[in-house]
Amino acid sequence: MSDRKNVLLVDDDPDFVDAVKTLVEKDGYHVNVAYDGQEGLEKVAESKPDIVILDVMMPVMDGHGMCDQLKDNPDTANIPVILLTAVADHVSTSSYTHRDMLESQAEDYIPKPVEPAELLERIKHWL
Amino acid sequence: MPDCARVLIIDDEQVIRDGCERSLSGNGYSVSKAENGENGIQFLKADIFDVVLLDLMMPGIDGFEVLSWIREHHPSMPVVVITGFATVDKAVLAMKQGAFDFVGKPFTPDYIRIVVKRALEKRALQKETEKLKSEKALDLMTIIEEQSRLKTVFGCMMEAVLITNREGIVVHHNPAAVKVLQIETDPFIGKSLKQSISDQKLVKMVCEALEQAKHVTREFEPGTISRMYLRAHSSPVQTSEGTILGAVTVFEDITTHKMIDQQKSEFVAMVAHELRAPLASVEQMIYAMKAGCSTFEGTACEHLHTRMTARTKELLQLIANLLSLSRLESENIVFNLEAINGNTLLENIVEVLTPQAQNKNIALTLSPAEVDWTFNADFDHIRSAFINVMGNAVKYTPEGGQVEVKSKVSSGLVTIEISDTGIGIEKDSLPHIFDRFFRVKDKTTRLITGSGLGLSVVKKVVEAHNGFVDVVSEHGAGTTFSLSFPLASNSISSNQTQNMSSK
Repeated sequence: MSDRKNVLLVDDDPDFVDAVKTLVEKDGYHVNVAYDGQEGLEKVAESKPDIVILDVMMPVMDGHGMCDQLKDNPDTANIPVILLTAVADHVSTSSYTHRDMLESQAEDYIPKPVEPAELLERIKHWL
Repeated sequence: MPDCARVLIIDDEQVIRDGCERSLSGNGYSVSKAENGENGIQFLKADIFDVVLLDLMMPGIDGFEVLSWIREHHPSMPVVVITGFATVDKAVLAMKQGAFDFVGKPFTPDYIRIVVKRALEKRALQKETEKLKSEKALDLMTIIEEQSRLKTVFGCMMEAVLITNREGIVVHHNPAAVKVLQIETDPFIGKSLKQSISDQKLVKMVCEALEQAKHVTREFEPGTISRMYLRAHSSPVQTSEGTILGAVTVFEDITTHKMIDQQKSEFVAMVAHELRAPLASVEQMIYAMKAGCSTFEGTACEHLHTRMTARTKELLQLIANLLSLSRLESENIVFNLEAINGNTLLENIVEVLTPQAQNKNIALTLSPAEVDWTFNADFDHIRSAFINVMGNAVKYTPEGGQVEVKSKVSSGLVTIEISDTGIGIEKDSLPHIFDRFFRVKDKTTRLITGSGLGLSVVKKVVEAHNGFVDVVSEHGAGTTFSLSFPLASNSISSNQTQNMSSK
């Protein structure tokens, strides 16, 4: 388990999570999941991932919210974050509305749905 | 000279009377004779005459009295006084009192004819003048009325109107202008537009209309020009030769339009998002299938396949709901109302949902009302509304729970209660459940997907049928939806088609 890299995947759609988990595990990673930003932060503390893949549109705490918290915390600031989303997400449930990619502290940004090859390539790149 | 001009001769001497008659009758005049003042006045009261020949010296009521009577009652009738020899001063007095002319006795037939003719000409001229005067008065009245009408319209219009001259000075405006526009100067009239309204875009717009002699339209956001969203139209005011005298600018309040546009855009964005998210997941699952099926066991593929089918079905349901909602909100919807037996309807729907309930080991029961009840409804719409509510009850109730459907009839109303022992609705979420696309999203509802439109449609349908919906819920304990409808009166037969407007 020690030489397998740890990926944390956070998205509110269970079907999406299952599909991406399948793809990423196939490439040899260990995947943990969470379904909203709050849960995601708890899982980060628990599992200490090497990389976090994060959907923007989620209830309770959205992707931008979770990303900001990770980057503001020196313990987690170095974990690369990849944001995933459909393009028009200005109707967010949390207080972070209409954030530009440019304002975000995330390392990367991929639109949904993600092509498997591209996702895996980006993960490899940022690790 | 009018044919049949009517002449009245008032003279006590028969010779004079007959003489006048002879002289005048032949010339197309009709002559009436009165032998004294009283008689003369009687004639005048009874008939219309064009000229009166009046002897001044008569017994009884004398000529002057008659004259003064005529001046009072027929001021425009010419009176020719007849005087005796050496009474010119009387004649002059009579003239001063309003007589038109005088003849001295004796007079020749020719002479009397000339005098009468002159009097009648004068009368005709007078009539002409009066006619023109009254026509002019009428025109003036019309103009004043017209002006008054325009003034009223101008004053009552909601749209602000400004009139500026060639130099950009405000020369006139209506009351609405003061209400709608932010005017910095007092007075407004007489000052240049630049001074009174600080929005430069407006000044530029009026200049453009003036200089280029064309209509200009611009929109203004709330700001230095007004609190409202405005659309302004400036038009040059030109003479028929093309000289530009100034410009008239009208301002429309488009605040409501803008609000509606904004709501529409937001709705479209929401719809796009709600359609895209599930499709993105389906596509993601297709990728996973391609990658995973060859490597993993059959069950992984089967699971993906099941989920993809479910999500796609849900998407189709979402689209159907969107269409329903759009149709319900349009003014032209036609409902096919028929008398529907309530107990039978509920039985059918419970039957449809039984497999779904059984899959989750949920006890789905129906307690029909003690009486048979009928209500007027559009079968398809009402059926979908019930399926929605009952479907939700089953969806949001965990394994082994219960869903109960009860109906009660009282005072012309039927109430159908759908109660479940499901996850319930939080107090904070309760006011929003009928909002479009609203779905409770937390740990307990994570695996439950839906369009968020079902209850919006239910509410619209129920209300369109003159019914109402009520919800009672406790988070963690369960929810009860109550749908109430007026019952059909016994005299209504089946298969009516009606136009109903949805609210």
